[in-house]
Amino acid sequence: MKRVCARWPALARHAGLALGLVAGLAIVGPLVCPAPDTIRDPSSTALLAPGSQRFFLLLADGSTVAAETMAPVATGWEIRRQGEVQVVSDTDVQGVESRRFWLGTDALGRDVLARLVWGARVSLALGLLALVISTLLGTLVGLAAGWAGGALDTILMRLADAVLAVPMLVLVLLLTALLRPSLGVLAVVIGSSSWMGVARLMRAQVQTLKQRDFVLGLRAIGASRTRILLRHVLPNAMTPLGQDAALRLGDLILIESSLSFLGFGVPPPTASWGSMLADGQATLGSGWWLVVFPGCLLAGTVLATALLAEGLQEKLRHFR
Amino acid sequence: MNKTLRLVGMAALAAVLEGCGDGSGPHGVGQELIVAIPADVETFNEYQSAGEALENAIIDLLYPTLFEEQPDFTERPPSFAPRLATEWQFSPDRRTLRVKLRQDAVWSNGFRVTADDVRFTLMAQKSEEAGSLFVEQKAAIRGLEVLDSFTFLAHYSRVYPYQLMDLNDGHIVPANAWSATPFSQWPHADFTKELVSCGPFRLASRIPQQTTILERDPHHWCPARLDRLVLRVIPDAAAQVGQLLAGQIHFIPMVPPRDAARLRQSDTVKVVSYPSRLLGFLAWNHRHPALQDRQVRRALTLAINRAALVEAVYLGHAKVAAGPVLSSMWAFDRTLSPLPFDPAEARRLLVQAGWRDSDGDGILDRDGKRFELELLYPATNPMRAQMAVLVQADLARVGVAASPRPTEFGALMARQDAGEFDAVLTAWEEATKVDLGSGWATAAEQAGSGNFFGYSNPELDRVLADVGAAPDIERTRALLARAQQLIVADQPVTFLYEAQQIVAFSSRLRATPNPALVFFDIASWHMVPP
Amino acid sequence: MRSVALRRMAASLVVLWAVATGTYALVSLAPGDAASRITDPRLPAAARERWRRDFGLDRPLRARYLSWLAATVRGDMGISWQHRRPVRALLAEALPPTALLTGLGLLTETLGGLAIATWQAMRPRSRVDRALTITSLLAYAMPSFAVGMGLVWVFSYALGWLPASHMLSPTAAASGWARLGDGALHLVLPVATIGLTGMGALARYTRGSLLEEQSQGYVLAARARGCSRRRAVLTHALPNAALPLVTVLGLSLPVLVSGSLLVEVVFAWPGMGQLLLQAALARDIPLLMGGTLVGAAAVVLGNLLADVSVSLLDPRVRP
Repeated sequence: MKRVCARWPALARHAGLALGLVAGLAIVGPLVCPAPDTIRDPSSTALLAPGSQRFFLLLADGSTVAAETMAPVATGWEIRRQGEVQVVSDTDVQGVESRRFWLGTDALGRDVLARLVWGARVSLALGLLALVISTLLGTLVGLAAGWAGGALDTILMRLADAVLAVPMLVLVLLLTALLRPSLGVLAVVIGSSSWMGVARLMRAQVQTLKQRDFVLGLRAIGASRTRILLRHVLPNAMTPLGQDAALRLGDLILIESSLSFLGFGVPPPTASWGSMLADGQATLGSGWWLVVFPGCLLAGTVLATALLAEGLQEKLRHFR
Repeated sequence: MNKTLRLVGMAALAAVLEGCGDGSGPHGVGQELIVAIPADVETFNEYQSAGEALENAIIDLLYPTLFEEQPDFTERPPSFAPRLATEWQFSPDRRTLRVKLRQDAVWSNGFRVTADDVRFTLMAQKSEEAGSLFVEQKAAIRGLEVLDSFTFLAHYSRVYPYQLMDLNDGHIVPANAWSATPFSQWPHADFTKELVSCGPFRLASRIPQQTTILERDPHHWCPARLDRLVLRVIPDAAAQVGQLLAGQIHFIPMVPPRDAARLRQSDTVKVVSYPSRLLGFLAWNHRHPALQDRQVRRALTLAINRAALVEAVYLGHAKVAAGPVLSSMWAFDRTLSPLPFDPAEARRLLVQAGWRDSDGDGILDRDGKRFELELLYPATNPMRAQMAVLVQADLARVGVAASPRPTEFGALMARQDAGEFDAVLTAWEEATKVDLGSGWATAAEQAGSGNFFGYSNPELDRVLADVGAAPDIERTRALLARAQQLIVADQPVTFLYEAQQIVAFSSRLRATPNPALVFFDIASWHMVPP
Repeated sequence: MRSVALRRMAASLVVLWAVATGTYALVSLAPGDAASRITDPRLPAAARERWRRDFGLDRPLRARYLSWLAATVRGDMGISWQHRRPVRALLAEALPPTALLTGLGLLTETLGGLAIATWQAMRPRSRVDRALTITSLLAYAMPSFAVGMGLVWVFSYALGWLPASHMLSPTAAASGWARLGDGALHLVLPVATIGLTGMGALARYTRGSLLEEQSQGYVLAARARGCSRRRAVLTHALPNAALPLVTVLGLSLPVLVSGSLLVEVVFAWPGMGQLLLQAALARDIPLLMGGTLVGAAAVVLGNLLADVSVSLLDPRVRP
């Protein structure tokens, strides 16, 4: 076991660790982090730099007042907000709290850190779901084309190529117009417009395997087609597919960001890293932290998946 | 041909000597203004245009109108200054208007602009076949009688306050060049190949999706001081701002509010904002069982902190709207003010209407149905996305679950027409001819109407019918005030904001952009050395 | 041999028809149509109805589809509803810029990727190798709009060396060397964006094959004969490792026609991607269909080219 592990290149090990951290963040983070969509005080939605502190007074009527500074006075709390000093009487105030925004806030006063933590879950879930869908679709098409051969093969593969020729974002745009946008629909749309690579890979695998002795032997002894396909061809074709999947996960996460850039990403108020980056670029001049943090997380994750995929490839090569 | 041109040249010189606005100074050499536009001009023909504001402003540079609508709509319906027409006078019964045209106006192909062009234009404007969007507006103009090349009579079928405005709307088109194409082919014909125009600028060259270059038309009666007006297609707003700061372009007609502050800090850029005629609102679908109730709609308005919304999204470049008429407009009823932000009262009204949180999940319900809404807005508009999030947060505080749904534009329009929505964040540009009928009267057919949300109030319909028949402006004003009060009391929509338009340009440009039109008085614009 | 060619032709036609029909159905069934863009509330509802009539949208979908199909078979792509110009002319205008941009982009990507991979393969698992792996993947790990904007931010806004967008300056000379130079300057950033975002994946792929080839007998034999590692990689491993790239490139030929939408949007490039995006948003069916068909046809051609060039370059595949 140890010997096998040692064959992982260092980069891939680090990448795997990073991905594990990201996955951990996506799973555990939202449990400990406050909800990301809260706009505590809609009348004070300033863009705050990382590290800024804000005070909040929880009022009796259930609303919250944000303040830049806060000090207790005889009758209640003296607060300063947007340059004005006012006193909120003790009878109105149910409680006070202070909060530091370690990574700043966005244009609506929402905590960037909280949105990044919750966004990890959305980005990863969306990417994984799209990955599953595209892999399933691509595997089906690839298996059918590779196994059947002939006219079906030609048509299926040409179809896959031709779908590639239609600009994918245009396709997705029309699909989101047709279906009402939600996270699920988005995953389906992204997944169902990126199966072509898998199909091609799968077909190549099946074609090679079809000619291998063990498959020919199985056919000779009269094993059923489905059995050969499912029990023997598919598992053998899985390895390169797994490596490809690791690479594609990154791509799929990026596609969501591109869609957000064109306005067709995850519907608000849900945050994903991609949509945060796309929104942030529009306001780059006013807050660097809106671009830098989601950008780094996004790039880091995609980079890690690519490195992991490469590590996988290298490991497989040594294995052979 | 040669001779015509020379004659024309002399006429233009005469016009300069007479003076036209501030544009009478000498024009500079090599003066060039680069303007960023978010999407390419699809057509220079208003019969083919979908009515996009910037496209209209560009068409206005190439074709003349009879009169120049003045930006003085705050006190009364806009007045008119001479443009192609130099003099006009109503007959005593106000059913006939005598108009004299200037004699030095020429099309870019050398022909003079005459009363026959005006008559041809009216024929096109009254023709459904030509794709005219003015058919209803021109209905009261029975016809034009050409007295001589530069004089005509316009005959009206009735007397009403907007007679001049209705005659003026739309641009005069060249009969000599366009009459060769039958009206039925206008919607499809390509008019850009040899564009015959008559304006301070004419089309010089064009690379689709990239650059359109308009050059100064020296034969125009009021030639521009700029030599070239370059329209650059830059789809991305952030790129427009970046390029203006880098000095690669000179003029942005529409700046996002968040960038305005950053642009103000630069000393190479000037930022000007002025009240636009954009009215933003949240339309509630009156076919929705909960939203039929005007107390519920009122409660939703009270629950939304519109002042905070305007501040957060527009950063001071908008104000809360009180009702269906802009507060800067002459017809605005000054007794109206926006409903307050009062969540407590909103909760009370909702309880009164039978909405209470019986299962304790934080969301109101009635007869076992939760109060849930889908909030649609155009997907490509980031400011509406922010508003949707704020509205959602405010409504959540009173127990109404709203989900923002960015929707592709065509799909949004289709859902509006079909009535398949709960709420839509939308905005429209209000006309200076305050016409509440198109948006608020009970619509016979809701598809395509301004009143897509299905609002209906018989009393309002009666008042609006009276507005249409009112002979003078004082009566019109009084009736419009009554109509506004009725509408505000019903809260058919939640009125959100009156936006400002923010224009940013190089500090080298001497210009006075104006509430009426972005390029108002462009003939006087010029660049000074850095 | 001839019957194979014929069969492939027939299959290609079936595919073209399927893609076109699918797109037609998608754009027709998506809610909204070309008349939806008239949003001015002052306009009577009749105005929209009239637009619909003008575009033939009042007819049932089946009739519209059949007459579109008939026209397409005749080679008539119709007139764009947005631009009022023949679709053929619009596509002819948009294709060259797209082909130029993506062509140069692919070239940069390939050359850059090969260079990085070769450099890495000469010193595998060294510090340089690792550093190159990470840097080459950095741009790959960002969405292309972010890479493009980052480049614009640095090289155009901050340093002012290069133009931020478009194909030509507004004041470009009408012809000659000055115009050519101006065009070249405008190409740098968008080409770099395509090249940088694609380079990483290509370099990873090639590095893998190079390492694999290095453990093959013929390379080992060459090394044993005293050939330097550098020489062995460059003259023996590289040509063989680069061969599968030809297929990869052949398959990315369609991008030459369909364009990279985001790069075109960021750099305001007048190419196919933007044209088709606008067409889809405006439900401009003739233009969208024309673009789709041309793109799909390019795929058929691309596949053919890929097959042919592989059989020319690789003696093992030659029949």
